[in-house]
Amino acid sequence: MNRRPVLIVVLIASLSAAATPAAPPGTQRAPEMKTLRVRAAATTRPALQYALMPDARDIEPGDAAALYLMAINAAARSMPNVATQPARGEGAAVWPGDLLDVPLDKLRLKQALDLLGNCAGAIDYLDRAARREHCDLQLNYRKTGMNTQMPYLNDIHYVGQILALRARVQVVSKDYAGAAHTLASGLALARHLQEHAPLVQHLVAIGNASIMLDRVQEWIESDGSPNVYWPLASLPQPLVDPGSVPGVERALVEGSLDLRKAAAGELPAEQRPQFWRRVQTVITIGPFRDQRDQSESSFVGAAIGAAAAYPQARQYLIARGVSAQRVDAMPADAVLGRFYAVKYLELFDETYKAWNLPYPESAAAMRQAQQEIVRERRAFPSNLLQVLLPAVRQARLQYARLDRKVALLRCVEVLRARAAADGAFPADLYAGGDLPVPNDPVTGKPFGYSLEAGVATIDATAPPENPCYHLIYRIELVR
Amino acid sequence: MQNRNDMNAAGPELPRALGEFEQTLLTLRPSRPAIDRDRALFDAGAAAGRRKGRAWRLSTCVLAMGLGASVLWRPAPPSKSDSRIASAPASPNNPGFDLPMPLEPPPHQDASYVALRDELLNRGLSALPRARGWGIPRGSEPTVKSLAPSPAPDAPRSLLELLHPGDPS
Repeated sequence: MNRRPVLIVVLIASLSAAATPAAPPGTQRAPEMKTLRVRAAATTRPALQYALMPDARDIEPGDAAALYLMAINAAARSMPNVATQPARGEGAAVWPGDLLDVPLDKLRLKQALDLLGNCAGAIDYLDRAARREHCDLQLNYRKTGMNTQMPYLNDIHYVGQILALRARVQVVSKDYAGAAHTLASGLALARHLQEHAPLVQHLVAIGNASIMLDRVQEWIESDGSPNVYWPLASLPQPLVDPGSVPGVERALVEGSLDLRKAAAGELPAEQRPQFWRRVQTVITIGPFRDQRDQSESSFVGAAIGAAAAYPQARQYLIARGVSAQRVDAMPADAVLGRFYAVKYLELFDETYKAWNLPYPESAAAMRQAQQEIVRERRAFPSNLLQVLLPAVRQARLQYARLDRKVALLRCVEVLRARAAADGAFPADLYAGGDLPVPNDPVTGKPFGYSLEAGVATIDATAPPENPCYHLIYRIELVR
Repeated sequence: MQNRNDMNAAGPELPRALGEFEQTLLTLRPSRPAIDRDRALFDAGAAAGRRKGRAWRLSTCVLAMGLGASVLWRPAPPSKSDSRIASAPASPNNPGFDLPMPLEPPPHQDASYVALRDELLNRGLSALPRARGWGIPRGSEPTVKSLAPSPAPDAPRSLLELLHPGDPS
């Protein structure tokens, strides 16, 4: 039997598969494994001796925003001199984020201390800012709309890394009181960022909180560290509150585009060209970068798409009670503009209607909304307004993942406390013991748990669309 | 014909020298041919087969190496124009918002709100560009420097001072 054709086909197929770009992130199937080696530790008394949020007695009245901006200013000038130090290789500038990735046992303490020493001014501002009542970063999004500038956003993530590095050094140095103070500053920064903020700022807040929780994990793994079950349990839930996002996102879009008037058919004829120009501006500097092409051909394509949508737009308005005579008397761009605006506003509500429910309850509705957006985009590709809607389920999931991180750390602290009481990890995490064990905020169900040869495994599954968020903690008891 | 008959017939006795030559000739036996026809045909076929086999093995080897190389160095996924129905961030070991910041700034420093939002959802915090104006040489920035109590670079803080937060720096 001649096997060559078969081999050729197999080879070509393999090469094609290999040449295909790697699976997009988030679709990789291997769960993330973390191994924690911990010692038994009972909960502390007082229970909140190492509180992870600023003590209410330390909160001062006033706005934290100015202090954060001063911290950024101080930190920016304290970083390694990029003019004299290479970005990579020997003698490269070391930034706080670089030292967060180094395993704890390989962290060069002097290097970290030198860096923190340079940032001492910024750290002081951050500690003070975190203990202010509120934070108003003066976003004028109702007027500036999608052009709202958030120039502090990158910087605030960097100063968060400075705090995380200090917490790391404090954990290594067994300065747990200092580490708790620093962690409280970092988590309060994340809470401040959530106030009346758009989704983008919330995502940065979640990232900042996440790197602080990584330090909590390092705390738990540190020999002789106090049990922080109750400090974790007393953190706000959700840690970053998503509540304000739908309103702010709506205001952002409507600050740029008068969609209410467009949907009601009240956009004056002389304002319609400006409306379309704004739509084009908002969209073409957005994710549709390949639509930046403003050549004649792209306009022809848009015109063809609009012409194809016109009959449905006309029918849609008639079905909504606008008389056929009136619709036919309207200019085509007015009909389409109204149709597109109505569709967008409907989809916006569909997108966000379940946002404020806990993730396990809201996921199905948000999944449906995303599917509807996909259908609408296929049906009306010329309605670029739909681009303004985010991947809502994916966005909402980030809040739940952050809360899951807190819940998992609580579970580990339950294990440490049970080991302190019983000499070993329990056979059943959820049975026995007097510490409440949290469910998985992503699924709403108990975490998977098993105990084999003294090693506990906590299994946090992932939504089907995001298998890479599957997380498994292996916890070994060090005696 | 006559000559042939003459040669085969027992003729008159040959001179002595020719007789000896005849006897010598009679002792000669035909040697085996140097080239075995069947063997030659077989060898020719085998050699041709070997040549073709080498080419096939060589091409297979090159393709396999190419396959291996392309598995190791897979191209990055192209940026999608529609990133709204998003997949998750970044690496299996450190997905999403736990990612360290990249050393190189990502390409969309002038990105709009929508672009930045979608990039953050897709790539996590690695989508944020490196903070601008950080790490510039001291003294080259004539702004409100005096407002920030930045320590002199030649005066590192003590461990005690660093680890006791709240102390004014």
